[in-house]
Amino acid sequence: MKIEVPAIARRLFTRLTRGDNLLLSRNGSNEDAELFTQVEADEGPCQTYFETFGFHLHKSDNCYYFTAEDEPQANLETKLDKMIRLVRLLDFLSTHIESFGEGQIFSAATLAARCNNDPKAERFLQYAGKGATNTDRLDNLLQSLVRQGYLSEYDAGRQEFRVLSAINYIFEFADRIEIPGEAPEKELPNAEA
Amino acid sequence: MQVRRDSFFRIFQSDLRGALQRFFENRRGRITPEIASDFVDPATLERLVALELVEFDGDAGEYRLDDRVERFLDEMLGAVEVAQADWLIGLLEEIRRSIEGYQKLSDSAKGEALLRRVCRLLRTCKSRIQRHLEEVKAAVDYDYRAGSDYEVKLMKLEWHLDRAKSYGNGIAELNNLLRHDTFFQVHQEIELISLRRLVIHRCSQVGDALIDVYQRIEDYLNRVMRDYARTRKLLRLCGLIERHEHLTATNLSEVVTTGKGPWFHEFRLRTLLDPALIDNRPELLQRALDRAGIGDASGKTRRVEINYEPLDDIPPVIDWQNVYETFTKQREDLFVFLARVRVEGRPLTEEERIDGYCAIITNEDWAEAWDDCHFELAADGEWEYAVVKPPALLTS
Repeated sequence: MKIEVPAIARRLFTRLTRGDNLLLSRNGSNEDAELFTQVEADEGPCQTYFETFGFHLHKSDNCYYFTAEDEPQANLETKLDKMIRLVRLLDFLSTHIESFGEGQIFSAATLAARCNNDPKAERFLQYAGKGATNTDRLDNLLQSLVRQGYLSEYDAGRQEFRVLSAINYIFEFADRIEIPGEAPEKELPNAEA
Repeated sequence: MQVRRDSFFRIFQSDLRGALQRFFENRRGRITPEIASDFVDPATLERLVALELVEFDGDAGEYRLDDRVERFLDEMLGAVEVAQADWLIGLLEEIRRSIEGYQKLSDSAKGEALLRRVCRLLRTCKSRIQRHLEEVKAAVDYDYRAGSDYEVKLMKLEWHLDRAKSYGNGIAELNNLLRHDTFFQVHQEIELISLRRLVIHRCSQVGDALIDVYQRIEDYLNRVMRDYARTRKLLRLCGLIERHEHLTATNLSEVVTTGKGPWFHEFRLRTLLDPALIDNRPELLQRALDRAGIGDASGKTRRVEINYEPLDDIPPVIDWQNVYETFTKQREDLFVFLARVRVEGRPLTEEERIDGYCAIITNEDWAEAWDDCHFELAADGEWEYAVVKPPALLTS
């Protein structure tokens, strides 16, 4: 079978299969943003090409990631734990960061101040973060999210972080969860020309 | 979605919100003590004055909002108010009145004055139409990004949508007037013709741009509604998790079963190579990628031929450092097995197959295993081979 090999194949492959950061965000670092644009322009050929190796190139809302046909079959219990962690994390961030979502910039100091004396937030940090104090736990949690590519350091001096498009990948899971009895929101149709 | 009108005033204490809202809504008018007593009871009014939210002007005999409070509320609501297009409706009415007046007049001198007035109004329209559009866009963006209260955002964006649509109607009306009114068809003064052409052109541009604005507002509205719904859902989900009801009350287990990607797995290149190999032997990874046709970033798009095989049929790639262990794990005939083995994506050459075979059988561990078999060995030139006798035939 003859297929096109996109020029960016190697760069994309090594970017998305190594290390902790396995998501490519549109609003990531300059290299990521550039690579994202190139992948977007060459999406079809990239998908076809990697399919032959058993990799699926997925596009979420403004981010790309790979899944593989032979992803290890983690047991359901482990995956459930991870899903609960995901729900708690998103709940924590949505509650304590104004308009939490792609592109939002927030300050770790403000977030830490909001968590102080909030028993629910403190309980979450004890559950999710490592460290002796809540500040340490929050710091570790944020650094871990930076490593995984969901956040980036925006201004290290002022401890400001930016939410990357990769967050939409985990938002999708939250959106797929249904609670019976909760009416889905109706979306507005786009204006007609 | 129901949006509460008093959302702006939530930062104030609940008993002051209603009164402040009424003072703000009537800030342009004169609020005498009688009117103020209709807005609020005397005790609350005194509190408002004591807190310096409202001040009483003894000379004028009226209550008014404190300047700082009014400025603050103006800033909060300013982005909303800028989007109002009352000026366009007012100008249209004025143009119509001037045209009507011109048509009824018999005095040519007064007629000239009205004609100049129409031109002046058209010039105002021309300069303000585009600017207003930019202001609407900026206000929409500002109200979408600023603040944290979803209900306030929704309310502001809905206002923007209504007002942008009424502005669009105003533009369409102006366009219609300029194109079809007999006044503009009869009068052929150069200035009027030129202005009419420019304003019609501007109206058409703004009309097109407004469609983008509507779409942008609706997109923002959808996003805010989605985020709001998600936040409420997450809150409820956490409650269910705390009560251990998440599995029975939601479809969480179904989502978990189908969940894929980086959040759930330590995803790595593992279909062909062992994860340790990728971490510790980058040169092997690079060679494997080269063999697989994953070229350099600098390369141009090119075509490659790939022998596509179902994954189950692809034999393992052998790390030469670990060759003995890998080979001894297989249970088939070694030489036949070697014919199926691929190294870095390609089959072994005949020479490599023989070398590999010899490397294995001369391995010390293998030799010990070999010795246990008690096969008879024979030599043929440079080759040594095992003589395996057929099992004895059973005879009765």
